[in-house]
Amino acid sequence: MFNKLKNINEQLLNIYQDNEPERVKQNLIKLVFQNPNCFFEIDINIAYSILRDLKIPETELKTVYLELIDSKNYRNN
Amino acid sequence: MDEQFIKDFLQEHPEFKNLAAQTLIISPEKKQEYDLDAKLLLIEDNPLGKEVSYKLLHDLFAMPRYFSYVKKLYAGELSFLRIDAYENGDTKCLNILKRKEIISSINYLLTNNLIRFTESELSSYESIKSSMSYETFLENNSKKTYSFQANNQEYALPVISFLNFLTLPTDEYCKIVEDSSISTIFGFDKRIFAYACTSYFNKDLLDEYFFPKTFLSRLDALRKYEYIDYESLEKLGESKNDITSKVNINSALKEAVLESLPEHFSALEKALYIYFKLCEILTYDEEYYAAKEDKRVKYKHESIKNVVNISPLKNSAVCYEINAIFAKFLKDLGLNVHIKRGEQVFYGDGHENLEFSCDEYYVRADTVTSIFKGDLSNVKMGKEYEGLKCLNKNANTFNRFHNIAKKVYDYILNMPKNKQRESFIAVTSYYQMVQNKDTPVPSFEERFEMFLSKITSLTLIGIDRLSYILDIYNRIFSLAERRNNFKVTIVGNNKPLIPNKVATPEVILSFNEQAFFLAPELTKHFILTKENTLIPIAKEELEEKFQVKDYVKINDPAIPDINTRR
Repeated sequence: MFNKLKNINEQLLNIYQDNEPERVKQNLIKLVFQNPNCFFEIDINIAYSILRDLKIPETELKTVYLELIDSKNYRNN
Repeated sequence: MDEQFIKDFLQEHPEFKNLAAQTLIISPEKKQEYDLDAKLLLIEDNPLGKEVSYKLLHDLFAMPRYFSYVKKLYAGELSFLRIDAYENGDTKCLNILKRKEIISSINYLLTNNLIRFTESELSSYESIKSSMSYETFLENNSKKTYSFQANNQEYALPVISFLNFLTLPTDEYCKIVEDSSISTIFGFDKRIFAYACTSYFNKDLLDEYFFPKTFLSRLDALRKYEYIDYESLEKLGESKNDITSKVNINSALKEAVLESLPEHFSALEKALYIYFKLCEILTYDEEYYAAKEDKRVKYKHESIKNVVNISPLKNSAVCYEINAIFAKFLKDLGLNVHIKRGEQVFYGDGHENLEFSCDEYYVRADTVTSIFKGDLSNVKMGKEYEGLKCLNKNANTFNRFHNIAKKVYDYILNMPKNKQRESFIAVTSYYQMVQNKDTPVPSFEERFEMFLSKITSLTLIGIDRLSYILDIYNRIFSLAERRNNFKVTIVGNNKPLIPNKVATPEVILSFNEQAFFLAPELTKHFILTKENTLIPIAKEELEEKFQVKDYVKINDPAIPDINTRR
């Protein structure tokens, strides 16, 4: 799932080349994703904000978030 | 009159005879004279300053009895000159003067015509002064050799080499100390030479003679490690608390740590690599965390022979075991190690870390600065390490160390070399700022269900399991919610159901939909079992467990609405 989100982020960076506010956000998300354990270090509100910025549908936010913070992903580098 | 005074005084007070042999005791009349006299303020080595009467300084060379003490002082029979005043049957300290203070004070008073000596008094003064001159120092010491130890080796350097170095012309001196590409001084290793020079000119020697100002300022600069960083030689000349001869490292652990160690790494890089690999492989012992004060638990770890059982598969350890293993690796690399034990004396008695020296670097290593947030956790998570600190005061050395440590850490984490990891906290803060709006999240009840779904389906064990529970608890719930509505507490369970375990950590969940402080009667408690099922527990039953010490607190704030005191 984490790799999938990184791919979405890369795609959106391409799409938003001429949209500075969105491009800034996507660049920041890219920096956050340098940390593979980021979802264990950011509060849920920031996590949801990132997922929304990555255009994850509202109905899927909870499922995606739960998968990201699953214990099988804990301490994976 | 003075001679009569002391004669009468000692006759009347024979109990002061021993004191009088070491201390100049003056009469009340003289004290009054000095009290009313002009004073000189001595501030060197005296942060608050001390005052000495001009007349007293003059009398030290003008009055025969006083001068006899001065002669004792400069002959080395006294370490300092103590002057006491007799008053009402007892003596009170008036002044304590050192050799250099007396000479430099009188020099000042004479130069400014504030006191005058007769010819014979002046001659005595000049003779004493000359015994402390730089020329006398040269006469007494320049042909000597200074023997010392550094890096477990014996050395000997002629004292004249230090003198030649400290009196070099300015441009030559600056070139040698400031140019890091120059690695020797008069053919000798630069750091070892600087270490030897500053050790030789110790405080006692500097107090015995008057050295030229440039000489002293150069020594002072050397002591600050500003250009030549020999601090690691000074701090750790040889290994201390060395237990490594008794340590055997498990062969599987050794292989796991060293199998991918790059051959081309320097000694420091290898040491840091080993540190990070140990943090990656080992974990903190859960039972010890739950009940470290229990003698039966301590006993399991107290013997250094236990260290050989620690392997990649049986990877639970405590701080002094990890220390012993790391120290052994460092010694095998040929480095000096100092095990730091704090107030404790013995292996196994309390928290330990270690310090080691490698080239110019002097490093502190502590894998367990915190059980959940120390490097045993950080390295596994790829977070910033916090247990490695370069203790050198030289800024260049400090920066070089952390660049090397970062390079080794990135190598371990398999990070691409051209990828800079921005400060995670700075990035996330900036992202929040850019958002400029609150983002809706699921309700408290929904998040509570999410949290429970995660903790009841865990596959992690040991400290990792606890660390995970605490991390997602902190992430999913706000600070206010954690304070008022939902608390996760870890306690020690002294009656675990696991065979051969003295204690295990127990996770207690406390929940109140209104607020703990508003409606305590609504608080519900649950135990999360080792099988990750939630079992409700009544307040009275939970309190009983603390009363009979089945449960004990572990460095933790209170469980809401539960009296944990016996």
